Amino acid sequence: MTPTLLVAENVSKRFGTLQANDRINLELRGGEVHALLGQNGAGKSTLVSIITGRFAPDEGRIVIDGRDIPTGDPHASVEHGIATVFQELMLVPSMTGLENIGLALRESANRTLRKRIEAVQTEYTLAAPLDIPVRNLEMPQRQRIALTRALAQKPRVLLLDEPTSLLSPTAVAGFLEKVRELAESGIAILLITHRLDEARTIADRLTVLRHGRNVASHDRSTVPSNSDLAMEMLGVRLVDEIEVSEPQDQRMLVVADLSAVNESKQTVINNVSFEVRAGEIVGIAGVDGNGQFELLEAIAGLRHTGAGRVELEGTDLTALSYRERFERGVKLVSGDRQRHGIIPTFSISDHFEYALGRETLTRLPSVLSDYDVRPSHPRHRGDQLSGGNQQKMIVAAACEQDPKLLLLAYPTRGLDVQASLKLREVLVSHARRGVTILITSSDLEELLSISHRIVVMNRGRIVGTQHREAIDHQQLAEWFTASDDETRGNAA
Amino acid sequence: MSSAPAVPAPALEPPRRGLLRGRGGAWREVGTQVLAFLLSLGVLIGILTALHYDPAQILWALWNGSVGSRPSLGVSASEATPIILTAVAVWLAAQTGLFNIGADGQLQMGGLAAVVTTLYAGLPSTSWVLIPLGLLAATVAGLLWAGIVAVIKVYRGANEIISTLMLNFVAFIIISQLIRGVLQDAANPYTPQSKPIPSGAKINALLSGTQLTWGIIVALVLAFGTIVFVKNTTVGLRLRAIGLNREAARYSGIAIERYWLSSMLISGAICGLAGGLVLLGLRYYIAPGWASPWGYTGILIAFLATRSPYLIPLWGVLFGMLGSAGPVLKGEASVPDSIVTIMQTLPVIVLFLLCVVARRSGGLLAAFGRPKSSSPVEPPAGETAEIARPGAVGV
Amino acid sequence: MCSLLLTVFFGTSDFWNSTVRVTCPIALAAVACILTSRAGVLFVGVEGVMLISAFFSIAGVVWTGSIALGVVFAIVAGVVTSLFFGFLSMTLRMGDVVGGLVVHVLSIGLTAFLVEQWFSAGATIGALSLGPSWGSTGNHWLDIVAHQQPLTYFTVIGAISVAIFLRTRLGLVVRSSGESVSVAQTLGIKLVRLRYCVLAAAGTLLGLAGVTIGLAIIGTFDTSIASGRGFIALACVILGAWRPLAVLAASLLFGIAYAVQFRVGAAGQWMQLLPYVVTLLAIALFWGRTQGPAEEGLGLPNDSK
Repeated sequence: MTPTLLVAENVSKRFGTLQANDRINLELRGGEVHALLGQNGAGKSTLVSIITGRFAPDEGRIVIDGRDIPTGDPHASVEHGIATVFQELMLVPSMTGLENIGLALRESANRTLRKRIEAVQTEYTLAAPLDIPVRNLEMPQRQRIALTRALAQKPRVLLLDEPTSLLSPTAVAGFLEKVRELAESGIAILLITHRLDEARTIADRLTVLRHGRNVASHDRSTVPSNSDLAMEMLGVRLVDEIEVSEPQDQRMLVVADLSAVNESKQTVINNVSFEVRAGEIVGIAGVDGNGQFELLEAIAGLRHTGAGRVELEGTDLTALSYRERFERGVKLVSGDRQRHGIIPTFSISDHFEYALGRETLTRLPSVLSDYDVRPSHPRHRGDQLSGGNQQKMIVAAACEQDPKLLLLAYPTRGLDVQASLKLREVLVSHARRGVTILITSSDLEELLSISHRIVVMNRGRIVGTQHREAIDHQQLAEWFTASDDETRGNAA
Repeated sequence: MSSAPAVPAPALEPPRRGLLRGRGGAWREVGTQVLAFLLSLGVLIGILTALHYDPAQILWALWNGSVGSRPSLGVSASEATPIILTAVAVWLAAQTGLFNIGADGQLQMGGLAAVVTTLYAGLPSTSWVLIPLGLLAATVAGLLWAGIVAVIKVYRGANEIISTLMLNFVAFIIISQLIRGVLQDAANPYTPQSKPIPSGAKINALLSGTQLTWGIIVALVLAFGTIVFVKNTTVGLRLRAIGLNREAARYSGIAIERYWLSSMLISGAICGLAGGLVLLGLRYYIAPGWASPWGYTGILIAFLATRSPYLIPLWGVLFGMLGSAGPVLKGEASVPDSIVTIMQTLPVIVLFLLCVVARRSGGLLAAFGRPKSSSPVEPPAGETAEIARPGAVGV
Repeated sequence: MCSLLLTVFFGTSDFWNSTVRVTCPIALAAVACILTSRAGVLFVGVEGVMLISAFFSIAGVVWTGSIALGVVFAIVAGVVTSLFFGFLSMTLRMGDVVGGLVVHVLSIGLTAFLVEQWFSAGATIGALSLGPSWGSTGNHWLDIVAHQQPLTYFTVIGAISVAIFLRTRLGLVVRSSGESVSVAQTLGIKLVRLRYCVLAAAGTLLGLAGVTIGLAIIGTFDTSIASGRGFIALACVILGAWRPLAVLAASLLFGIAYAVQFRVGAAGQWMQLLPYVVTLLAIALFWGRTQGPAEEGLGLPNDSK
C-alpha cells in the first residue's frame, strides 16, 4: 500500500445559499491517479480551490503527511508541494511560456531557468515553444506550458482540474498517458473531470461528487460500468413526474445541419439537426461540456455558426443577430444569474420595467405571485433575493415577453429542491400555452421530469433521442458515454 | 480568447468601478454628503486658522463673496451654470458606464461655435435670432465633439477615457490657434482674442448691475429634467441597467450600442450648451483662459453625487458660490483664491474616506456608509465556467 | 515651399536642441506611465504629480540654494503625491480616473496656494543648467546628441532600464498585475502592495520630470507649467504600444510638435495638433490589435491585499 500523502477531511464551504461542499472527504496516495468525478456545480472546483489555498473552507481541514496545513493561503499549499493545473490554466496571455513559468517560480526568465525548464520538458516530453506569447499558442501547447510550470515546482501532489476540456480528442490520449507516467514517478495526482472514460482509463481510484457531497468511491478493481458511473454523477433518484400536456402539431423550431466552433476553433456543435413542435419541451441531456450550452447560444444568435440553418415558424433566423431573434420571440435565460440576469441595486419592478416596459408594472403583483417570487414586494432589491427567487424572477420576465421559443441554460443551477420544482411547473404551464422550450441541465432527473423528448449530446453531436413514454436509462447512459467512433456511427 | 480565466473577474466581483453603482437610503446619502461638505469646510478653515488667517474674516468673505451682495449673487450664478451642466452631462454618460472626461473640450467647442455663428452668420447685430442660433450651434458643436468619442467607442471598442482627454487638448489648441489667426480681433492685434459677439447675442442680466442671467435657470431646469428623466423613465432605467450589468442588459434584448451612442451625444450636447451660455452670458469673446476648468469640476461633482444625483445641482451651486467667493477671499481676508480649487476636491476625498471608514468600523459609522454589498459571494469560476463564456458575446 | 518649410522648422541644430529639451520631461513621465500601466494602473494623476514636483524643485532651490537639494525635494514630492494617488484610487476605492482627477485639481490648487503663501513675489529662479554638461564637440549637429544635460541621458537610460526591468523576476510580477489580476492572485501576489511600490517608483521618475520642467525649462513657477505634459505622456504610452523604446520615440514626436510651437508661421502652429490626431487615429484604428495591459484602469477586487 502506498503512503497517504494528502487528506481532505470533512471539508465544507458555502457561498450565499449554495452549499458548494458538504463534508467532503478525499485521500490521495503517492504514485496513484485519483479521479474526482462530478457534473458542473457538483463542487469539484470549490474543493480544488480549497486544497490550493484560494479559499479557506468553512469547516474541515487539509492534512499533508499527517500535519494540518494552513488553509486560505496559496503560498502554504505550494510550499507543501501542491501544484495545480487549473481548468482555466491561469497563464498570463501576453507573456511567453518561459515568463509565465518564471512568474510562478519567482525567478527571472533567463537562460538558467530556460535550461531547467527544457530539462523538465524533455524529462516528461512536454515540448512546447517557450518564447511565444501564450495567447498565440494552440490549446494543447498552452496546457503543456501549464503542466510544465506545475512540474517545475517539483510537486508531491498534482491537481489537474478538467485538464482535457480544452484538448482536442486526438490530444487526449497522449495527455492521459503522460499523467499515468507522472503518477508512476511517485507523485499523487488528483484528476478532476466529468469524462468517465478518461477516469476509467487511468484512475487507480475514483470519487464521485454530486450536489457538493461524496456519493461514491471506487477502487480500480471495483469500478462499476460506465453507465452506472454516469448515473451516480447525474443522479437516478426518480422524482415525481410533472404532468405535461401534449404538444401541438405545428412545427416551431427547425435546426438543420448546424455547426459551430468555440474560441479556440474547436468544433463544439457538429452537424446538429432536429425539429421541435409548438408547446414541446425538449431536454438536451449529456455529460456537461458536450456542446449543450453552445447549441442554445447558437440558436439564440450569440454564437457565430459556421454552417447550417435555424428556422422559427418557417422564418429563417440564421442571418439575424441576437436582438433581431429576440424581437421575433427567442428568449435565452442563463443559469449564471449574477452575470446574465441580475442588475445590481435594481428592484424587482426595475428588472421588469427595463426589460418589458412600464406597462407591465400594473400586472406585476399578479405575475410575482404566479411565479411565486418571494418576497413578492416589487420594491425589494433583486440582488438581495435568494438564488431561486432571482431565477424565478428572470424566468418570469422572459416569459412575460410572450416568447415563442424559450432557451434555458442550466436554469436550476444552485437552486434548492423547492425552487427548482416550482420553476419546472412554471415551464410546463408555459408549454401548455404553446411556448416551445429547449432546456439543458446538469441534472438528468430534472430533464426527465418535464421533457417531452430527451436529446442526448455527446462531443457536439446529437447521438440519440428518446420520448417521454419510452425512457430507457440504460440506453441513455450508453449514449452519454459513447466513444468517438460510436457517436459518429450513431449520427450517420 | 486566450488562456485567461473563463469568467473574468469583473462579472463575479462586486462592482469594481464601485462608485458608479449602488443606491441606498436617500436620506442617509444626503446626510453623508452634507457631512462631507461640512467636514471639508471645517478642515479647510482649521488649516487656514493654523496658518494665522482669521476664521471670522474667512467666513464673512465666503458669505459676502457668494450670496451676500447683489453682484456676487450674479457671479455665483454664472459660475454655477457651466458647473451644473457639465456635472449632469458627465453623470448622464456615467449611467451607461462611460467616462466622459472630455466635458471640458466639449464646452470649449460649444463656446467656439457660439462665437463663430453669432459673428459670421451675417445677421444684423441686434437680431433676436442670434441668441437661439448661438446656443443651438454650441449644442451641436458639443454633440459632434462627443460624437467622435462615441463613434470610436461604439464601433472600435476603444477606451473612451484617453480619447476624450486627447480631444480636450485638440479643442484647446484649435481655439488658441483660431484666436491668433482668423478669429483674431483686428482692434486688438497684440492680444490673442476673438472679436466680441454682436450686442444682440448677449444675454441680458435679469438684475441690473449683476451677471445674473437666465442661464442659471436653464442649467437648473435642464439638470433636474435630465435627472428626473433618468431616474423615472423606462429609458433611464435601461441606461442604468447597461451601466450596472452590460451582459444582463444584452440578454434582455437592450440595444446597448444605441444607448451608448445617444447618452454620449446628449452628454456632449449639454456640455456644448454650457459653453454657449458662458460665452453669450458672461464672457462675450474668446481669449486664452476664457473657460475655467469647469469641466473638471463637473466631473468631480458627477462622481461625488453619483448615488444621490438630485444633489448635483446643489453641489454645482455650492461650487459656483465658492468660485465667486475666491476673489473676495483674496481681497478681504487676504487668503489666496486658489484655496477655492483645493476646497473643490476636499468633499470628494472626505466622502470616500467616510465610506471606507464606515465599512471598516461596521457599526459606529454605518449610518453614513454605503449599504452593505449585497451580491452574494460566488463559487469559483470553474463551477460556472461551462455556462459563462465571455468570448461568445462580442462587445 | 515644402522643402523651405522643412528647412525653416527642422533644419537647424537649435531646433533639435530645443526639441530634446522639451521632450525630456514628456519622455520621463511616459516611462513612469509605462511602469504603472504595465502594473494595471491608469495613472490619470500623472499631470498633478509633475506639477507638484516642479513646484518643489523650484522651492527647494530657492530655499536651499542647492540644485541637488531641489532635485531631492522634487523626488520626495513626486513619490508622496503618487502614493497619495494610490491611496485615493485603491484604498479609498475612487478608481483611477476619479482619483487621478482629484490629484490633478488638488495639485493646481495646492501649488497656487503655496506659491502665494511662501513666495508672494513669485517663485522665480530662471532656467538652470542641471549638473555638468559634457563639453561641446564644436559641431552643432553632433552636440544635439553629445552635448545635453545629464537628465536627458538619464531619460534614455531610464527607458532602457525599464525595458530590461520588465523582463526580470520582479518585472514579471509587475506585468502579471497588469495583465491578469486573477492569475496574479492565484499565484499569491499581493497586488495592492505591489501597485503602491510601482507608484512610488513612477513617482521618482515623475519627480525628475518635474525637475526638468521646473528648473531646466521654465524656471518660474506657474500652475500651468506642466501644460498637459502628463496627459501627453499617457498618450505616448498608447502610441508607443507600451514598449519603452517606442514610447520614447512617441514622446519625441510630441516634443517636435512642442518645439515647432515656438517657431513662427501658421503652419508650424497647426502642427501642434499632429501628435494628438495621430494618437486618436491610433486609438481608433489599432485598438484591440496593439493591446495594452488587460487590467489597466479596472481597479482591484474589494478584498485585495
